[in-house]
Amino acid sequence: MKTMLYFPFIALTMTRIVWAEEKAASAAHATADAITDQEFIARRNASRKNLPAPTHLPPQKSKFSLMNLSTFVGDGEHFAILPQGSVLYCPEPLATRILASPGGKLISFQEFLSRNRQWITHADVTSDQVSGKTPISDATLKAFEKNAQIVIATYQGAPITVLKGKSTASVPQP
Amino acid sequence: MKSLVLFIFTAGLLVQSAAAVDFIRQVQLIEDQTIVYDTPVAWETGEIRSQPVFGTGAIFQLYAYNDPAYSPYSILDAQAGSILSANVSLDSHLVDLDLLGIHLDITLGSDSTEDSLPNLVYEKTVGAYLPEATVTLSSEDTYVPIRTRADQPYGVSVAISRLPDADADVPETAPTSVRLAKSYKLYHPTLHVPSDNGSGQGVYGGAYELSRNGTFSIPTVYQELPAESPTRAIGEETHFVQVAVGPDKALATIGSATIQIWPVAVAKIEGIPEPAKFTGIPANLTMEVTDPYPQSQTYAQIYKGEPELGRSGAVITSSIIVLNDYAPPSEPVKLPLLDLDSLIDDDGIYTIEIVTVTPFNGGEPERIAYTSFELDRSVKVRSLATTLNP
Repeated sequence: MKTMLYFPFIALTMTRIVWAEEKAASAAHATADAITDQEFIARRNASRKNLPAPTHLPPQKSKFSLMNLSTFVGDGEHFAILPQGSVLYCPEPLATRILASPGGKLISFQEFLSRNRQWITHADVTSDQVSGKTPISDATLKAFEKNAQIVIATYQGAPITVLKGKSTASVPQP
Repeated sequence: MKSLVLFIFTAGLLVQSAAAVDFIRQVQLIEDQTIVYDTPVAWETGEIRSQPVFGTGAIFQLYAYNDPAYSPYSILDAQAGSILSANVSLDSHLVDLDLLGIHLDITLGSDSTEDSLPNLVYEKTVGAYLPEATVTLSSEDTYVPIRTRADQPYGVSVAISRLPDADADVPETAPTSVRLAKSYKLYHPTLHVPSDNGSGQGVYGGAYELSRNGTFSIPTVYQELPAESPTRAIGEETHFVQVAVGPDKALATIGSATIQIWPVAVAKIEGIPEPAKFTGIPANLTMEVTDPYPQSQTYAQIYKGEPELGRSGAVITSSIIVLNDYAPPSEPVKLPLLDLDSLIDDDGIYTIEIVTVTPFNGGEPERIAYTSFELDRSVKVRSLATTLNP
C-alpha cells in the first residue's frame, strides 16, 4: 500500500527535526547535487581500484533447480509439481498425463489427487523403499497394474522420490 | 557415514487447505543420487518438520509465488535470509534447523498464472561435513528488507565456519573450500519486479574461492547492474556462498543475502518560458519527480538570487512529497507550484530548486533539479503609461 502524503510545511519541519540527531552525527555532510552517471562511474571505478568491471553472464544453471528435480502431472487444465522419481507406476494410456514441462494452472498435489481420483492415486512407501534398499514388491506392482491408475509415491502424506536399485545409504526413521 | 537426525516440532505450518501451492523442498544428497521430498506450506510463520538429514547432506529450498493480487511489491521479508539456520552438533549427531521466522509478505497458496512456476525464494544446504556460511549486507538505509540507492555503496560480510582443517579427519568428499559469487536481477522500470520469464537476470563474472574459516568483509560495494544509466538502475543483487557436493561437484548454496537497489530520483520544473522571464508572478509552474526514494521528503523551494547550492529557500508547500514505502511510485509525481505570490517580494532573479532528503548523504538535502527566472513587473507598467499618452 502506497503511503504518499502531501504535508504542510509544519509537518516537514517536524520530520526534519526528527532527523536532526542523525544529521549531527554526520557533520561532514552538506547539501549536495545529485550525482551524475559519469561521477558515479568514476567513484565505482575508484572503489574497484580500477580493476575491470565484472562481466554479466547468463544465470547459473543449477543441478538442483525446480525443473531438473521435478516431474509434472497434468489434466489438461491444471498441473501439479512432483519430485523426480515419485511416479511409481504409469499405465501406457495415461503416459501423456506425465508432462515434460508445466501446462495449465498450478494446484497442490492434494488438490490434484482430489480432482482426478479416477486416474491418479498415491501409495505410501517405507524409508527402505525410498532409498531403494527394498524394492516395491511384485504383488504391489501387480495391484498397480490392475487398478490402471498413475501411482505416486508418498511418505507421511507428501510425494517423495523412490530410488531405483539398491542404495548403500539407509534412511533413518524420524 | 554418520547419519544426522533432525526433529522440529510441527506446528500449524503443514497445509490445511488444498489450495496452497507454496512448498519447501528437501533434496537429500546420497552419494550420486538425490531424494526429493516436498512439504506444502500454508501459513506465513511457523515451524516445519523436515525429513531426517542423512547422506552427504540436504538442500532446503523454499518455493513461493509473488502474489500480484496482494501487492505489486510483495517479496519476502529480509528475515527470509535467516529462515534457515543450521547448527550442527557432531557430538549429538543432531542438526538444529530453524525454520522459524518465515515472514512472507505474500498470500500463500495464491492463484498462479497459466504455466507459471513458483520462484525459488531461498535455498540452504546443510550436512555433517558441509561448511556453513552467513552472508550479511548493510546499507545506510535501515529499512527491512535491505535496500539502497543506485549511487550508494553497501557493505558485505561473509562468515564461514566448519571448513575442515588440513589435518581434520573427514571423508575425502568433504568440501575444503567455498565459492563466493554474486548474481543480479533487473526490475521492470515501473512494476518494480523481476521479469517472469527470467530476462534481465544473470551472474557476475569473477567468483572468489575461500578456503579458511572466518569473517570476510567488503565495506564498500557498488551495484553493477547492467543498466543503461547506472544511477537509474533498478533491481537487486544477491551475494551467495556455494559448496561443491557429490561426485559431480554440483554447486549447492549454503548462504545468501539479497539487497534491492532503487534509482536516484530525477526531477524537472515545467512552465518556465524561453527566455526565462515573467512580467507577473508565475502561475502555471509545475514540478515532476520520477522515482523519489521510497523513504524520502521531496519538495521545491524558492529564493531570490542565482542558484546557490546549500542555500535554504522558502518551501513551496504545494510541492511536498513524503514517502515511507516499499518502493518508489510507479508513475512520476507531478505537482503544481502554487501560491508563489506569498513567497516573492521584489522583482529580480529567483531560483527554484527541487531537493530531496533521504537516509543518504547524512540525511542532508540533495538537489535534483533547479532553474532560475527573472521577474520584471515594471515592463507591464511602462506599456500602460505609453498607451495613456496621446
